[in-house]
Amino acid sequence: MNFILSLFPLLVILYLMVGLRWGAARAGGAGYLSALVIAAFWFAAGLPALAYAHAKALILSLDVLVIIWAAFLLYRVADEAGAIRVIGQFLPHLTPDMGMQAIIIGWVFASFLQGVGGFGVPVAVIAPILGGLGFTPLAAVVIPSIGHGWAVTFGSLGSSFQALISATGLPDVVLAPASALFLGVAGLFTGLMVSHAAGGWSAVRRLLAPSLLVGLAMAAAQYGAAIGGLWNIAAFCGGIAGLVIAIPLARRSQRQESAVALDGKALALALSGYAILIAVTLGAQLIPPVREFLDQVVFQAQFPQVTTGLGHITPAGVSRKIPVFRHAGMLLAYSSLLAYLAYRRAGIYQPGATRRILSGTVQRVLSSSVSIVSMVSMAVLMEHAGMTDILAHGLAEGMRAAFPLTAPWIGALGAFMTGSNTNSNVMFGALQLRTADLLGYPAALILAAQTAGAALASVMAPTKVVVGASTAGMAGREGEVMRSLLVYTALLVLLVSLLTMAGVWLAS
Amino acid sequence: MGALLEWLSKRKNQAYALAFALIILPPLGLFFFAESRPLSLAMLALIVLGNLLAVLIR
Repeated sequence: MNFILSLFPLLVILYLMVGLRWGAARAGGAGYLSALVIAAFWFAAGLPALAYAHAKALILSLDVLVIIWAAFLLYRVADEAGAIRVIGQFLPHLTPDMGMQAIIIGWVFASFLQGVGGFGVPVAVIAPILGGLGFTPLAAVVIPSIGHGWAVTFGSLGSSFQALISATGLPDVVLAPASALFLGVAGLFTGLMVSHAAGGWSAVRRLLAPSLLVGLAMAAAQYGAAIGGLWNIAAFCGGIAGLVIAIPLARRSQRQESAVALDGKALALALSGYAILIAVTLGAQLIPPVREFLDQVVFQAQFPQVTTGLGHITPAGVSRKIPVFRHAGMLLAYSSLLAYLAYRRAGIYQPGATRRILSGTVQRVLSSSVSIVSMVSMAVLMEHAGMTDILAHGLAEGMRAAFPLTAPWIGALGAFMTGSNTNSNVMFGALQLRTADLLGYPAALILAAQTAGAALASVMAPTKVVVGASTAGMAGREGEVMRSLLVYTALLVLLVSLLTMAGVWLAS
Repeated sequence: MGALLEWLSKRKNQAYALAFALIILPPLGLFFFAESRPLSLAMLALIVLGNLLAVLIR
């Protein structure tokens, strides 16, 4: 009974989002309310436990929300300046080969967009471009959907990875290597799948060499940035590395006349906002005086021990140390401001741009902010009431040796339910960590499996599929998109299962 | 109830902003007043209200 009641809030979210197609904010609220009632009345959580759980949830939520808000602000600053449109217009002129177009636009550019924006932006931007190039509506949605999945964890300027850090309390140096490795290997296979979606097995064979070359460059760049402490721009670095390799490859194979007519100044201006992001991030991380200056204000909260009526103890402890002015979200905010000033100075904003940037950002992030706070609160409540512990024990007893194989599928389920790698990490991060500890598996590998599975499966969440389908003229045919994505996604999550099993075997 | 639901569907952004304020601001108070039973209860009630509001927004 305890296990079923502990599982109940997660089942509520699953049913409401998948069964009734509720949005994440509504379902998250319902999940939270059910968790609160069960924690208070069945697990006798008590007022102090509930109160401190909410205070902790606030810190975890803000830790993630600041990145999401600032990341979308930067995207809006660049988009309002026409930067995304200019880059999107430039890429199709590189080659008439549709397979190569799928690789460059549907995989590399999608990964780049995921690195800097996320929130469904890659599919929303790319599906119409591919449709205009002659791809079928189904392929126009499926290609960018598969193409950006591998970049989700370190994309959106690291918000999902930040959620994993916050939910588990483990530092980035522990979590980044395996996560980046699993996602990098998945990224290599993603290239082959994009080729397959564009032109079948013949395209896979024909484009094997360029896709492996581009995939290796992107995976290596993401891995290097992630383990080097630059995890908030790791997917962005991967996307840039992919563009640097793929564009000359495409131009060498089949140069087009229209590529010569490219407006280099407009492209440079479009990319300047992202160049500022790189400069700010590198400066804050790698220049000691800048780093020390920004580290002067640090936030850390202390919490007392709380015990539930059933005897579950949450020991006293301190929250993660947050350098307020060097937080990834703050770096994004500085970059957004500088990029805005640069675009404004260049005179490319239309009248009313500032208002549109701010209102567009607020409108877009409001509902996702509500869903994140609700789900974080639910997850922390469950931890404090001992519900996560019960679920972890149940999973540990039920899975045992098979747990490494199932860990990515748990992450995938969370992302499918909530439409978000971030939400999945918030919901299941602590559960996966606890189960790994109970069974004696390396936490870094299991949590890498969690976030990789979640990232890859987030692309076929109903919320994302609906957005993608609507932008490619497939509204009402979302089932077709999901069926097509299911095969590719399942293969990629299975790959992560096998990698996790191999990692556990090597570690033992 | 019907009027509330209609307002929520028409003024979605304002409703989300209100729900967000209700679920993010009271926990700030819980940092300082977690030991006070009446204040904790009042703030938890506001958080529940915020989540209920989020559930009602269509």
